[in-house]
Amino acid sequence: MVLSVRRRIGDIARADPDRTALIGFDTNLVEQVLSWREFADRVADAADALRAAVDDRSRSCAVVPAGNTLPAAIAIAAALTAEVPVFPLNPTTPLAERDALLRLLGRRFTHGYLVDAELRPQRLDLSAGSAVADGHGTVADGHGTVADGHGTAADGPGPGKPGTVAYLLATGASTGIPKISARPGPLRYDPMRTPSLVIRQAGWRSAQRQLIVGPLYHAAPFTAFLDAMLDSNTVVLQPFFAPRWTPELVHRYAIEWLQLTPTHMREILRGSPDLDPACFASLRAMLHTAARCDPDTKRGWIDLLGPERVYELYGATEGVGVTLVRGDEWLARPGTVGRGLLTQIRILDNDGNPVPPGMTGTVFMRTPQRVGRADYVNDQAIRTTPDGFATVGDHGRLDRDGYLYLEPRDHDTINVGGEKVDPDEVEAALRDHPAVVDAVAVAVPHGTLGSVVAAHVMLRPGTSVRRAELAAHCGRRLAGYKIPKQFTFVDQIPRSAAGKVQRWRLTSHHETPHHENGATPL
Amino acid sequence: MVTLPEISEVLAAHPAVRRAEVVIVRHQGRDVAIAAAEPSEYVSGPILRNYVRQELGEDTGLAGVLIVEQMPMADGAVDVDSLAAAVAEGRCALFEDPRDDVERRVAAIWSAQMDVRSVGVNDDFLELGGDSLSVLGIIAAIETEFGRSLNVYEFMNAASVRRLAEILR
Repeated sequence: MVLSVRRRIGDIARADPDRTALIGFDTNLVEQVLSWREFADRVADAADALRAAVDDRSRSCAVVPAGNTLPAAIAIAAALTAEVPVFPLNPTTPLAERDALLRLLGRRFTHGYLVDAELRPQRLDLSAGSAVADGHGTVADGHGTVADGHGTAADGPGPGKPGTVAYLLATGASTGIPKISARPGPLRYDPMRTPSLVIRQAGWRSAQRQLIVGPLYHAAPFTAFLDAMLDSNTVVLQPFFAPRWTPELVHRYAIEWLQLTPTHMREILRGSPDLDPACFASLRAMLHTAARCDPDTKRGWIDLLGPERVYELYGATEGVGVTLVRGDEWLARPGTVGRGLLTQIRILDNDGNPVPPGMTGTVFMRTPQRVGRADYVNDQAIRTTPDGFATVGDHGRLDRDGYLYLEPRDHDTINVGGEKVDPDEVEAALRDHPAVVDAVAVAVPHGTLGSVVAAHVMLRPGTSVRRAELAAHCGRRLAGYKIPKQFTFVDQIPRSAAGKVQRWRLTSHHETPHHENGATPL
Repeated sequence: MVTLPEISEVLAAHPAVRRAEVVIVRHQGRDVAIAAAEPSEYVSGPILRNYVRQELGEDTGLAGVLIVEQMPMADGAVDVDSLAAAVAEGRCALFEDPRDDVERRVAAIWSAQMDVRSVGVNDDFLELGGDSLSVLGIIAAIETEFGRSLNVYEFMNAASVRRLAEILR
């Protein structure tokens, strides 16, 4: 039976009032625990307050500063309960970016309500954005979905009017152009579809204990939280990422399911080189998503957990399709992102013709969810074929058994005199140096070769290393044209919390204009 | 007997179709009637074929509907050769009834689980409108009926009644 969020939370709270729903930490890192009864009561109160404040639900949205705190989690649940579209905002967003995001929301909604830590809705001015007209003002019309399977008004019964939105998520973190994708709503609980098949294939169980490490304003942690809430999990919210803390929380709360980004994975391995596998004894599965994972980090986690507990998901936020691979399959086919799950994959050349296995082309996918696929609020990033296949522009190849291998995205590939350099490979080589914490490889213009590789390098505190030594280090691992010709030492590599490099924040003169203005959508 | 223009007319009236033409092409030594449809929003060939069956009856003779980005034209008329080539390349699923008992039982399971009346053995699962719910339903029903458990990958790899029946035989 398909249920509203209000009804579902109430049902869980009645069936299991004293079981823990949420564990968080306040600013002094003091543990805060809410039982399902307390969670349901607080969500209901906050939802009522929001309903009372909002005049016109179809044209209003709630904005929640979504750090990993109990109030943020309650506010998100309250907006979904009240069936007011909710936008989880990165609370540390610089003011200019925040205004740009609010202006985007203003194209679709007339009223915004900020729901802060006190859970009191306050009017927000979205109209400031109407002054900015860039000609791409087409607003998603409610055909949206994230790569998950919550029941929605679109695929199940429910009172939702066409065009109703459940939630909105900011995307485009690696290009610097804010985008917002809209997910049609209202959100519903459907026991057959919540969570989606792919998540259930990745070791998920109802009523499990889950640790949420990534921030609630990102798609993967956000949707994991919604699934957790609708599927009666106990959720532990890690308020900020500290690499040594994550294994400790897994151990302390006997966590069963965990979703990480490759950056989290890399930092955890580096933060605790002598990590005891027993810390993870309770864990049934670790699922990683978002950016691509370098092979060393992947193997490190397979060693730590055993291959059967490591899952990787590749899926565009836009709901184009999804692949899943378990550690044992990956060991048999290193580098693969797996097979399509409820997803057909076709590799097409530039003329739209299928290419044979082993050949690289553009990755097109087809899933049942295409009907409710999310469009960007402010641009058209998805290309489709007449028979329902779609792409976000990734390149890759299939092997004979249907396993997908991705190539680096076009705009990340560095072209050195016609030779293609995958920045991931250069970055992995640099991170292999004991003094290097993090690194980003970028293209810089070069008189004869067109471009060469340059690197931004973040060193371990208190260490120093000569540029020539780094170049020699790379030379032992990489072909000559892949070795960075320039090194810039930086205090911090700008990464989104999902681990994607925010290349446009690398404001060095090295940056090509192409990266600087982020002119390439996606 | 239903005429080709009648089929075109019915197809063109479908809300997702901008333009439709029905032609006879030569395929594997026989004449088959196929339609080419230019969609205005996503719609699949099998769904349009079943729509014609629902409107005009099961014996229209329409074997399949090919979705085209733009109607192929040659000398001011529909380019029959290019449509014949598409059929020859297997780009247009042609309706075919089950040829044996296993196919018949699998098709009946698909039909019941997906709530689709007419399932051709070559029809693609997603094009017929399958989703995660029907996958799970079909896998469960096949386990009951054939005593054989399937995983989602095996099922999606097969993707048609004919290939699924081959696994089960």
